[in-house]
Amino acid sequence: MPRVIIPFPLRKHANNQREVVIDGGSLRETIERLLQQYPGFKTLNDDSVLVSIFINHKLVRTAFEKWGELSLNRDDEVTLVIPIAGG
Amino acid sequence: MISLDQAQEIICPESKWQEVLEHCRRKLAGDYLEGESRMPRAYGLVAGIQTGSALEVERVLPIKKNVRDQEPYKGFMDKVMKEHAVPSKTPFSKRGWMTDPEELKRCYEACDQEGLMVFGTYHMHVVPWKHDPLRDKPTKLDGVLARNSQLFTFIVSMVDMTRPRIRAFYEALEEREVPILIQDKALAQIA
Repeated sequence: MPRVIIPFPLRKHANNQREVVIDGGSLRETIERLLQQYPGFKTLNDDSVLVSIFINHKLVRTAFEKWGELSLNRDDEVTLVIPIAGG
Repeated sequence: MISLDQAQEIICPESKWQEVLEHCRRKLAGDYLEGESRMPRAYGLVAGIQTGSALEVERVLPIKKNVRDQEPYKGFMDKVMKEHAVPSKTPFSKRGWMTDPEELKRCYEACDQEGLMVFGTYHMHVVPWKHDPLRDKPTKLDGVLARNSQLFTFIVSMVDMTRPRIRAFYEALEEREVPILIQDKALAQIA
């Protein structure tokens, strides 16, 4: 099952785990299940347009609407990166 | 482990404070590194460990690249600037810093490898304002950009470069300031 690497600010919502294993066949399914399993990740919903996702260290540039078409293998690593901004 | 927003104190070794200052001074002098956004602003991450209710700074990571003018960030940043930024010498289009996700990922991975957690960001304020001559506090804009970040915002005041200051605020909220203890590591070990 794909492993999802959790960004620092969200780890407290996942029992301080660095990574979690999510049973998802596509990127969309994986992210949806992640949000179901860890509702504290609401930030992902608030700023979903700005969240960056990497699959095996490669930045996903596919539009959100097509994430369902991005298949994931059992040993894939999905990394979430929440943008950080300042004035 | 307590939640970051419960931290009572931030301990920063003098050497790390000097690294932040060096970054700020270099950017203000226009001395840019290869691949670095050519703008006189310093932005970086603060990482370390938690000891009881204190956060100890172990590493500062200067961020090189500002993607504020790239989509999808540009639309977001332009909107935030228009709604929340106080007009100043610097036009809205030149204000704000958005970290490059690939650089941010590399920083997170480096901290993970060293067993450190990223608990804050830093940026500098340079231009004095009539109602805030020291500029050592977060602006309303800082608060908007740090909302839900669950990180500390370290404000480095470089208004008077001979007397720089640093203060830390959870999610850039003025009422959520946590004191910073700048500590000489050698002296701390003796004590």
